[in-house]
Amino acid sequence: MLSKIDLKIGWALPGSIGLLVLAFHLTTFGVHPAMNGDDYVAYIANAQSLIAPGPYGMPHYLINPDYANGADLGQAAYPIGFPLLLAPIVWFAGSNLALLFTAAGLLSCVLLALFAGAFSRLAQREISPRAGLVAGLVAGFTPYLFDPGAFLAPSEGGFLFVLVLALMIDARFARTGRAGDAVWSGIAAGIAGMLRVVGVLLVPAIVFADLIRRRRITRGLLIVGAVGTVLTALGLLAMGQDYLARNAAIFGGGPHPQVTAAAADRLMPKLLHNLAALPGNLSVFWDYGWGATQAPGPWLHRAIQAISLLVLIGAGIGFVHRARGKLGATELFVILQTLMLLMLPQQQQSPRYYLPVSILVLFYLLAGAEFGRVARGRRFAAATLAIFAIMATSWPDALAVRADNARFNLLAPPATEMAAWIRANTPADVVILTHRPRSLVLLTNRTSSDFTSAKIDDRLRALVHATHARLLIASIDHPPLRDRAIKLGFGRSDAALNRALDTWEAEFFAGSGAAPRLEFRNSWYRIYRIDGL
Amino acid sequence: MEVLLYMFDTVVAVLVIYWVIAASKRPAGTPVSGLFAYRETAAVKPEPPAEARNKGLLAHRPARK
Repeated sequence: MLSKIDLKIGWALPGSIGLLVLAFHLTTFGVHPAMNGDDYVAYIANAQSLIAPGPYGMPHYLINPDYANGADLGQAAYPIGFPLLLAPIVWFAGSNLALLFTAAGLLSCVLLALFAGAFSRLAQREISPRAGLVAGLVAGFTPYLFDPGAFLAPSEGGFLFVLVLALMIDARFARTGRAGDAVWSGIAAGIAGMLRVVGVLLVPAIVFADLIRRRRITRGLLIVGAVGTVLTALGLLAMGQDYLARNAAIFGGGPHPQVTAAAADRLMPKLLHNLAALPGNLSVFWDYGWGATQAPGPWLHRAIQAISLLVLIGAGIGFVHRARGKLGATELFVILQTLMLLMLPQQQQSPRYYLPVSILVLFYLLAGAEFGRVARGRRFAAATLAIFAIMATSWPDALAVRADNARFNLLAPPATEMAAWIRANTPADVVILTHRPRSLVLLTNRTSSDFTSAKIDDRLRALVHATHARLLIASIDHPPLRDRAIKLGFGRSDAALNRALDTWEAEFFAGSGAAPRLEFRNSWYRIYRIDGL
Repeated sequence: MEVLLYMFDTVVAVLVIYWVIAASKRPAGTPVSGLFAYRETAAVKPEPPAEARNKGLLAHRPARK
């Protein structure tokens, strides 16, 4: 009987869970030479810029600041932590993109397995051995983290691992208060800040938790604060000003596009919207887009809402229980992180940003279950199986999403053909508008930016004028086009998506009074000349 | 706006359930106060008799007639 086994065996259980997760991802679909994800591409480009001479970042990518109309606000430069991890791989692979993508996927799998093991250990130590078992398995096999190599932004696995590690080290620092533990705690929190921008909240959480715990400013507190702040600042400073200055020169000054974006939403409607979306964003551990491949019926929608409510109440009970005992860095981090995420624009309310909070929701749910004594003895095995059964219901959808990402990967023949045409037939300084600008930059090394117009209008003319763009790429892998094809009843095949692209083309060029000037066309891509509009 | 009511209800549910669990864990006879003061603490299962607990220790002795 599962519950009868004595699980108090230290690192053996977390270690086995980590190895199990690693084996699962390596043998199924974690590692393959496919890449679909502009964020991952930007990390790779950042790593390339670390090796090559010149500024850090992605010099050929122009951020279109037209947030109000849904422009891609993807970054040109990320905190330096993950690019530093990728740099040896990039150096080793050189210009061999297949090898580079495979190795990057391998790195993501390893980081994800490390995270599952560390998370299991955290729950084991802080809650109970059986909570450690469930936490590790759920975190490692959650459908949202399927296919870590190609789809998910890769820094997630590394960040979650370091976050959990930092919380574990902080728990030790809270017990001992020794200077040595303070240094390690500061280093872990600082590395978390170097991996993802949201990690910057870890240092204040640890510092305030220590202040609350000891009611005075100790030497340990100063050490944690100093080490963590310096490391985080180093990671963020590397994000640099080069591309901001370039963007300002092209698009006419103003603050960073993300800042403009955050200010564009009015505060109260935004907060209400984000609060309403919160349960859904925190439910990725058991629900990955039920409805990613088909719309959920009304009863299914109600079931999802009911489960997420139960999960949040259970996690709330665990949170109150732990916060009443001792308000630690974990609790403060959850509060600060959630408040910060609620302030982000509506467009950026993605479950991905909520991942650090989501894993802690799972943690508090287990703490609540332990506190409420709901999972003892035989019921423990039954509850674990039930959690897996609920998770398994969204595995098919996760696999379908993954298949779509693998289908439209950057090394598929149509993509390579398009990139080869651009490299051979355009000058090095040409500017191209496309919906996936960063991928185009990696493939062709041409300057690229996103566009938001659905037809040729003044907005597009202004964009062309500002950027001096000469080419525009339309492709069948743009998600709105896939939606259009499904809405028109065409289906999802290449031919169906091309029919949808025909309707898009007719609408797009209708206002210009001239026929579209098609320069290149294959089964996925169409490249138009748009100079002199 | 209804999301605020939803959140409020969730927080109230969390606190009530937390309180019920915390109260059920208090040893019998602990003085209680507040909103749910009338709710009595459930009786605790009595300790097993000493003979039953020491059964293993007494195993080598001949059973009593």
